[in-house]
Amino acid sequence: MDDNLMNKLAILAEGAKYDVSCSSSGVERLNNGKGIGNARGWGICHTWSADGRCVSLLKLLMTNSCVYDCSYCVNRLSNDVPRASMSPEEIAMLTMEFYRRNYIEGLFLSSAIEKTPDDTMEKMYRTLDLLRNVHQYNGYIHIKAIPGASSDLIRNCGYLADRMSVNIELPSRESLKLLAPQKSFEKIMPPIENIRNNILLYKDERKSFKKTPKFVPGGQSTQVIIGATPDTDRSILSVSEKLYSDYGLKRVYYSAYMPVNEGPNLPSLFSAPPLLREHRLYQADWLLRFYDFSVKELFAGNSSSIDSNLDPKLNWALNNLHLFPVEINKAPLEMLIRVPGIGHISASRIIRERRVNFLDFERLKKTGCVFLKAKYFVTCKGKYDGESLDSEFIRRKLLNKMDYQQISFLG
Amino acid sequence: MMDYLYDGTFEGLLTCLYYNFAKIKATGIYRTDTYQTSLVNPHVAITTKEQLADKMYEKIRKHLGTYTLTDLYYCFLSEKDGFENILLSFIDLCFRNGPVYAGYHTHKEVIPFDDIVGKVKREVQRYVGYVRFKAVGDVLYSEINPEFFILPMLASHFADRYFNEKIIIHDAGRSLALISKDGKHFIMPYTETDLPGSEKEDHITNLWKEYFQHIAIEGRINLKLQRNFVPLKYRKDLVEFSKPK
Ligand code: SF4
Repeated sequence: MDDNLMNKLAILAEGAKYDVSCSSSGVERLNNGKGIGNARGWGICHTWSADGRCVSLLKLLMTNSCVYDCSYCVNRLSNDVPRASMSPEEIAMLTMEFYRRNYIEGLFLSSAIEKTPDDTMEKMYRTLDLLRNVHQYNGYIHIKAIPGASSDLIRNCGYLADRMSVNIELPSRESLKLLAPQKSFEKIMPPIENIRNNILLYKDERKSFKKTPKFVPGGQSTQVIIGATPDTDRSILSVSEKLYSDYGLKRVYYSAYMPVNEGPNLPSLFSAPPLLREHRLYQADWLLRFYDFSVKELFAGNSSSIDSNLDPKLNWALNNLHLFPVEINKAPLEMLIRVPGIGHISASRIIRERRVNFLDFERLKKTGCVFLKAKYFVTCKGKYDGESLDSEFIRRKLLNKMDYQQISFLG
Repeated sequence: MMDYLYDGTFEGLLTCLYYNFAKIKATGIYRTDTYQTSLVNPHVAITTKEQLADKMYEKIRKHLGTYTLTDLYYCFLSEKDGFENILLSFIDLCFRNGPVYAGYHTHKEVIPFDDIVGKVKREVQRYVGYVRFKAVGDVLYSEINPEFFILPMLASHFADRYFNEKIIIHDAGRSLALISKDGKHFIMPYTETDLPGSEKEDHITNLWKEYFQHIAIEGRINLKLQRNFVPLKYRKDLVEFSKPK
C-alpha cells in the first residue's frame, strides 16, 4: 500500500501548497482524558519548509481532479498533471499518525471538485466525522467550504471543524469572470454568509444554553491571489476591510501569484511572483486588524497602491506629519502604536516603564522599538532627535537604510 | 558578606534566597560542586530546607506575583553559568524597589535576567513543535537535545495532548526523561538502553519525509529564512531534516 499512498501524498501535497493559510491559532481546547489531542490558542509551528513557511498543519487536497478550469490553478481541467484522490479513511489515518508523532498541529483539508460540489463536501464531512467521532481526535481542523455545496452540508462540517474558509481568490467581479468563469461572487459569497450566520447564531444561543455545540470556533478566513489580475492594492484591501467588518472574518491571506500556467489573461510564465507587494499587503492588513487603521487612511488622496519602498505605517505617518512628533512620556497607547517603529509590544513596554521613570532616548532604544525609524516621530522629555520633521528628508534618510533590509527579505 | 553554596536544586536556591533576605546578604550564590573557592569572600554551604524554600516561594508569589515567580523558575532552568547571581541581583532589585521593577526592562539588573528567561522560553516554545515521536511498541519515544533543561516546561502540554498514550521525551544530553501516561507525568534518570522493544523502521516517518519534500513552493525557496526558523543545531532532532538512508 505504501508506494501508492506515498505517490498520492506527494501529488495532493503539491496541489495544496499554494494555499498559504497555515495558522492553527485561536482555539484553546484541552484534552481532559478523551481520545487524543488538544488545540492551543497561540498556534504552534512544527517545522519550516524550504520556502521559509511555518508548517503547522497537514495541508492536503482530497483530490486534485477537477471539472473546473480556473486559469490560475495548477489543478485545472485542461492541465496535464498527475491526478490522485484519497479516501476519507486514508486522510483520517494520515492525520492521526502524523499527529501522534507530533509532526503536525492538525489537518487543513481542501479539495478540487472531482464530480460536484456536494459530492466533494460530503467526502470532506466524512473525513471530519471519522476523525472527531471515530478516532476521538481533538486536534485542529481547518477545511475549505466548497462554493455551490448545500448549506446543510457546510453547516454540518462547521460543527466539527475549528476553522473554515472559502477562497475569494480574485477580489473583483471582472477578474473572476476573466480567470474563473465558472465561479462568481454569487457562488462564493453564500457559503461565507452561511458560516458567518451560524457563528453568530452559535454565539447568541450560547448566552442561554452553555452546552450549545461549538460552531467553527476558530472563525473563518479566505485567500486572495495577488498579481494575476490588475486589481489594485486599494481595491484588494477594501474587500478585506469589508470582510473583517461585515463578515467577521478572522484572516484574509494574500498569496503572490505563482505563474504555473500559460494563458491569454495571465502574467507570463517567466514573471516573478510579487513577493514584496504581498509583504506590503500583509503589513497593511496587520494595520487594519490590530492598529485600528482604515483603508481610507492608508491611501492618501487618490492613490491606489501601496508605496513598495516604504512600509504602510511609515507611509501613513509621512502623509500625516501634522500629528507628530508625539511625546513618548505622555502619548496615549492609541497614538504610540501609530508611531513608525513602535509596535504593540514596545508600546506597552513604554507605558509600563514610564510608570517607574521618565524615558529618555537611551531607555527608549532598549524597549525593542526600531529607534532608527521612531526617532523622526517622537520626543523624549521634550527633546527631538530626528534632525528635521520633513517628509522628504525622512524619506531619503530611511530609504537609504532600508535598501539593505529589502534585499535580505527577498533572500 | 559571604558566598552561598547550594546543591543545584530549585529548593536549594530558594533556601539561599531566604537566608539572603532574612539573615545575611549573599555576595553570590554558587553550586557546591562547581564552586571555586574565592580569595576575597568567605563561603558557607547552605543545606536545602524545604520549609524555608516554601516560605521564600510564597513571599515571592505574594510580593512579586506568579508571573515573576515563573520567570525565576525559567531562569533556573537555563542552568547557565552564573545565572544564580543574575537572578539574585534581579530579585534584590525587585524587593528593594517594588514589583514594578520586574517590568523595568531597560534597567541594567533586569536586562540580563530578561535575556536568559527569554532564551529559555523561546526554546520551550520551539520544542513544543520540535519534539518528534517514533512509535516503539505501544510507546511514543522522542529524543531531544535542547540547550536548556526544558523538560519540566514541556510536561503539562504533552501530558494533556497525549493523555491516552505512553510517552517518553528523552533529554539525551542530561540523561533524563519526561514520562507521561494517563495524564500523569514525572521526570526521571534515563538512558537509551531503557527503551522497551526494538526499533523498527517506521513507514509513517517516510510518508512524513515525503510530504515535507513536496510542500515548498519552488518560486519562493528561501533557505536563509528557513535557517532562521530552524537553526542547524536543532535539526538532528527533526526527522524531516535527516538524510534518507
Ligand atoms: S475549482 Fe479549485 S481546484 Fe478546480 S480549477 Fe478552480 S481553483 Fe483549481
